[in-house]
Amino acid sequence: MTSDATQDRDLVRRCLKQDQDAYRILLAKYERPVYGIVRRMIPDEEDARDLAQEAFIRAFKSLKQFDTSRKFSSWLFRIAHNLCIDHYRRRKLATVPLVRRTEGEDEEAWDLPDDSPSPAETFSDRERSRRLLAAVESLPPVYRMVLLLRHQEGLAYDEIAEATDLPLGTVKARIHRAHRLLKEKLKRLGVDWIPDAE
Amino acid sequence: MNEHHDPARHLTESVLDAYGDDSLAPGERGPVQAHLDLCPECRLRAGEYRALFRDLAALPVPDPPANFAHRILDAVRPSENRVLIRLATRAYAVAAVALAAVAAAALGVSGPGPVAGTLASGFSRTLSDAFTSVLHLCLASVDLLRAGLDLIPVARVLGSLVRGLETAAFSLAPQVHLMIALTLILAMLVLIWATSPARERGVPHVSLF
Repeated sequence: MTSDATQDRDLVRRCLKQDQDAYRILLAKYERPVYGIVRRMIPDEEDARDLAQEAFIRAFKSLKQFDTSRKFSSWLFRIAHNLCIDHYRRRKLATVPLVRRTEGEDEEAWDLPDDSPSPAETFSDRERSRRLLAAVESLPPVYRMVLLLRHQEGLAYDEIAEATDLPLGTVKARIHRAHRLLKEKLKRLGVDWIPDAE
Repeated sequence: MNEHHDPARHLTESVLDAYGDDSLAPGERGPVQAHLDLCPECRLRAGEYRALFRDLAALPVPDPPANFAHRILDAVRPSENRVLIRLATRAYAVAAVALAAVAAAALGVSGPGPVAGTLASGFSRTLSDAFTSVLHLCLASVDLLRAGLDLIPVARVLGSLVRGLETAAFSLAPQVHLMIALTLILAMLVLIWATSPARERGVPHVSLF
């Protein structure tokens, strides 16, 4: 277990003794990552705030159930992930189904709206970043979640599997599918990337 | 992912993706790197993946709104009001238990005498009348039950038991009835106190106990 995870475990133990400072430290450490993920998953800002807060409240109120041999961050992300999925199911956001399934494939690609720029349109770095963000936010939620956990939070594949309660193989498949969908979307948008030098 | 082992063939998208995302198995990375060193086209495509993932990691992370933490900390903080309410209800419970204990002790342990007489009169004639009325109501219910039991031959034994209890109840003085009632109340309060979930958990919890 890393020192970071050990520190979290100690904080959890202090929380269980009603140490209010420990709650504050855990909250300060994870409020931005958790809110950042939830905000990218939930279009409405107030809903995102409520869900992120609910994730912390649920986590803090069920700390007794937390297995200290596991990572607190993965557990917290898992609660946030479940709340987001529940939110989508509750709201029945039919225009953004969780997964599109077609015959012959478990999870099929996404029909992306054609909002290609004119050939003459060029992109500044900021504009490219904005379009990248729009492309990410247009991904189906299940792909968006694993993509954000991977690239925004830098979680390892096995940590993502734990956070989403999915088999490792499914996580790998979803991340690679998310990359492919994103590249297709960006290609339609005409966004070019300056390759990193190898 | 063995297709990249052939240096004459270009790497597939899935291999390039995994390479760019650092998710290749340890044994796969060497052959892929060797191919990339020799193949400018695959190197360019791998660089695109790297650039995409770099830009993804650099996307701005939304900041939580102001006061984001307040609701969360409020939910886990033992509220002063909650503590006061809990203390008040527990003080009330302690007083009730103490009063019941004193009354029961005075009526039961001291027996008939000036102390018991004074205490009994303190409960007033109205209370005694009400108690007597309730007792008669209960006895009427007992008679009804007994009549019902008499209809069932097997239950005649139970009927005898009920009659015995009735006789015993009539033979007891009203003060003893009161003592029994107070003792039962005392036992119930102690039982509720001892089994209170809030007491067991030691967490903020608004309840009588």
